[in-house]
Amino acid sequence: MSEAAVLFGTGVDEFSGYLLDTSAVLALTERRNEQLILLIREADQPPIGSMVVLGELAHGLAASPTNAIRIQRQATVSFYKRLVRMPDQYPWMSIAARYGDASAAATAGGLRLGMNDRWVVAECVTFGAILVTCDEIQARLEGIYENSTVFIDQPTE
Amino acid sequence: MAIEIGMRELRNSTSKVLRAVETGQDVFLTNHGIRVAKISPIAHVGTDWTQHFDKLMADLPFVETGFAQFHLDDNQSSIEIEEAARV
Repeated sequence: MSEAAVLFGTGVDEFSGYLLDTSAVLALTERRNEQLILLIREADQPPIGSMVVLGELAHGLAASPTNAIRIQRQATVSFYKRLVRMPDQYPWMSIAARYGDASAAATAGGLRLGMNDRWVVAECVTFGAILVTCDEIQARLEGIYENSTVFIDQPTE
Repeated sequence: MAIEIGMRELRNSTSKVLRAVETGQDVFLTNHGIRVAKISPIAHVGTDWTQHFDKLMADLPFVETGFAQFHLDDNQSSIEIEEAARV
């Protein structure tokens, strides 16, 4: 157990499943990625919700260049809220501890990984969730940190 | 923030309440301002989950709003700002 986990607690028990990074949510909603659809459909339960992903979707919504796009992006945010299940209590203390570990591992491993991506990994580790991402660099964190990952190859353009 | 509604409002706005629950929110039913019941989303598991997911996908409008590229660009900008701050 890491020093941070000892200080902040170890996380949430029996709350497992997939956790979709924002890149995967958008591959699902805007690209209908078939590999992703199959993966989620065949799971026995809904993916776990992420506060960070919801925040990133809210950012994209707020930054919509036109009102028509804002309305369409609102559908993506609504879809996400109906897709996922959230814990009754957000375990922010455990996630903070896991962020410390994940972020240190990313930096030590020389990964160019944004802060939000590190927070998502911290959520995954706390929930015991399998990260689903289209971000190759985020997926590589699996190799240097105790985290299961599914990489979905979805070109942006 | 939790949603609280009285019995009359539940009668008059049932669809609105169900929509809120569908998006994962708990709704507390009150009697003279005191919470007496909670309406919560159910957990979809097994075949129920598959049906729920199929309906969600069917209801989702097929659009391409540049959201994925926006997210990618924003992520890249954040990394560059963080790296510049460290120098």
